[in-house]
Amino acid sequence: MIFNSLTFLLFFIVVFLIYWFPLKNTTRGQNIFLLLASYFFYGYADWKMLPLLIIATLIFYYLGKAIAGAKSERQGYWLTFAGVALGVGTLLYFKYFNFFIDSFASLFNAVGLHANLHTFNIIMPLGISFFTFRLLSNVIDIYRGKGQPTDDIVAFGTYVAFFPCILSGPIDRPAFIKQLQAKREFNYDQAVDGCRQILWGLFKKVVIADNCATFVDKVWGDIGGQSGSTLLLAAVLYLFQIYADFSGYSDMAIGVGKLIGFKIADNFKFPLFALNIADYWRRWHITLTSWLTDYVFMPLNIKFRDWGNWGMILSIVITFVLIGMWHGANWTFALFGLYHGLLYIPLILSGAFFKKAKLKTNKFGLPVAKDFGRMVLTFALVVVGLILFRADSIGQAGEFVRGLIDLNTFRASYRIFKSSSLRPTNLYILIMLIVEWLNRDKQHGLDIKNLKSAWFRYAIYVMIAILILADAPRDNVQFLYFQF
Amino acid sequence: MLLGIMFNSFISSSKMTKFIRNISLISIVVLILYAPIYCALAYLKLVCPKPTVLESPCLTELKFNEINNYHNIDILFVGPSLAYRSFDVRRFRENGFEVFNMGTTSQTPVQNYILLKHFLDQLQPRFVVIAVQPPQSKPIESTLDFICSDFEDNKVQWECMKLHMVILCKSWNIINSYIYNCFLHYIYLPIRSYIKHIPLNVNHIDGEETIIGIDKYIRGGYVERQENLTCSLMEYNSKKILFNSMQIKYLMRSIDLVQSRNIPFLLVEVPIQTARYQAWQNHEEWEQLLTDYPYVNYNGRISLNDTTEFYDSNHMNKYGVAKFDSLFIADFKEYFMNSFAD
Repeated sequence: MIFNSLTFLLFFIVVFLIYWFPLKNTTRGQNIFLLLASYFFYGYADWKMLPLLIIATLIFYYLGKAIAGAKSERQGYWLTFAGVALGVGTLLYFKYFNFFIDSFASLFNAVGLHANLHTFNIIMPLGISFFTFRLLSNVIDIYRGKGQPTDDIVAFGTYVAFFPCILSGPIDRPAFIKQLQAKREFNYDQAVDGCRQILWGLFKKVVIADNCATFVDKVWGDIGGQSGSTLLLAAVLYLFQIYADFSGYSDMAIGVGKLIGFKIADNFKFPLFALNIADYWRRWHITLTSWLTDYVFMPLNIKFRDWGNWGMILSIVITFVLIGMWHGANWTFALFGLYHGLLYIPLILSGAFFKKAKLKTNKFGLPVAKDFGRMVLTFALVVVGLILFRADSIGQAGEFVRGLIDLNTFRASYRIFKSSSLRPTNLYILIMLIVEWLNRDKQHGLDIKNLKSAWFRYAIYVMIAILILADAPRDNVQFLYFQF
Repeated sequence: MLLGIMFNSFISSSKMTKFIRNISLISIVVLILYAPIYCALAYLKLVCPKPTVLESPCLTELKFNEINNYHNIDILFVGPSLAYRSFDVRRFRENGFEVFNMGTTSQTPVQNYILLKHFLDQLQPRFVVIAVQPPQSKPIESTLDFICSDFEDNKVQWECMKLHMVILCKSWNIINSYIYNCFLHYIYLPIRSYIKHIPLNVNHIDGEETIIGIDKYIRGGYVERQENLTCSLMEYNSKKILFNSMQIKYLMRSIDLVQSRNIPFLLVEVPIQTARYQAWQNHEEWEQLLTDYPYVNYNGRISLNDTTEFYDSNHMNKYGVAKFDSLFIADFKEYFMNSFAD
């Protein structure tokens, strides 16, 4: 049940009406209803794994209580370790078991040993990364004393399975449980802003991401038959595709949360305007990066603090390799993470990493030349990294890069530019960039509540809604991050 | 009681009322303005509808703009391109049969049914041949073919038929294409014709044949490829056919419709390239569905050269058609002519 589907619309209308009408005066009733709705939502997407979600929730709920009630520090430590091992182990099993078997088999074959290793048909549960991280942060925060276990199992279950976020994030922290325990009143302004954010997310996903995908997939399906300029265009469009797809999904999730009275953590802060790679990762998939910063990077940084800047570099590189590998079981993802980790080196050694990048604008509201240059450089570095991200294998990435640096790179590929589906997409990307640039200090691109003319605001909503309906290129294309 | 609680909650919350009212108003405005704005966006190429009347290959238009000349025919052919590219009307005429080939591009059982329902009474065929293939896809391509075709006569009936096909596709893209093609047919092209003093270009055949691109359209509905008449051999991965249940349902409806008119019929599976045919793992399941009906599968029944008698993996070239039609006509005379409807 993806957000941009009629099924989800019908589901959410029912949830919204029941949530705010008969249940509006009972917080517990609302939470029970949300929990059931979330299990229904998850079961609709992947009913075979619903028992896994429920069992994992129960185990970690009681584990959190056990950690808080541990008789000694050592007992608390081992209980937390057990929880982390269970969570990480489950994730490793579902995501990486076959990958490691295949890799070991390839390694053995490469040295002349023929290992008869079998892979299993392991189906990865949808959203496993996202709900596992929620469960892990709960037990770790309890152990660290940053939080207390909740007695409200319904609120805890809803926090883990919360339907707007379960399939692709954002990854909220256990503090979200407080929102579930507080009384919620219908807030008109918040609901309207939620609708705006959903509309903007739909626009990015349906009009931009899905249309970019049509071109990008075609090019990647036949790398050898493309000119260098076409490959370059595909590489650039892939960044827009993945940004529009994932930030679009996050916008929709946050918007849906607002409609039922919740503030979900922001996941994107206009990363296309980042001034350097550190700034980029502070703006891209914020909840994942901050999760790994708190639970991986910081402990590593403390461990390696005696090594100065090189200790920090090592911590960052390890963290980014993990970020890369989180995306999937392929060496390309590991290399993607390593690439981004290494990009931090000049920033750390020059001291720029420790300064918050501040964007300067000229009198026309545009970035000054130096900052524009930095934005373009960061953009280019990210585009290069995404070649590894998109490729099915290192060999395919190499083929793509070799095609890019072909002597004919600047020969225009007229057939591609003539493609009727690409022209409007380029225009919509430009519109997205302009709108997000103008609202870069707001929470989301369509945060236009301060526009004085109500008629103008409504006209914008109507046009965007029409564009979404008009430009649906394919029926119910999956979100990219569902596979992670 | 639940509705009562909801109603009380509803009227007691003015903010909620305002919210739902505003959402509803915006939704209504979007619905009202959608068609004109979509057409403007499509005209300015800011959105990309599927093929339009301006890009139509015209074969379907030619066919249905001459159909009114046919009544009380001997054999009616229906089906996808396998029908209109395999049954050469000239050969049937040479053998004394008056025929009409109502096959169209990617025609599926959904379109078979809709067209038969509309044209059976006019054409009054004495026999119906339905070219069949295991139905796997939605009726999208054929619907688009009809949407972007402009027919001279019975425009209201044609619009009803097109709308019926559009609804059965259950695809928002097809609805968009339908809206835009209606705009082109009924607003843009007439205005353009008036302003530029040029006649509305409705395609119809004047003589016995007309060339459209690399095809030749023969009066009566047969289409013959003129160029690239050979085909290289390709390998196909073995795959299981996944039947589209809606198409199966409409195939049965077409059969029921023909039977209800007491018209004898035959389901024919026209030969395709051997390698392609053999890639289907579960063809027997398809044949099982048709055991209660008169059905002939010419794959394996006729020996055709996959490279010199086909121009692609699905379609015989004129040499293959000549061979196939000779066999088919001979079979028809021997086994089916006696059952002609009166």
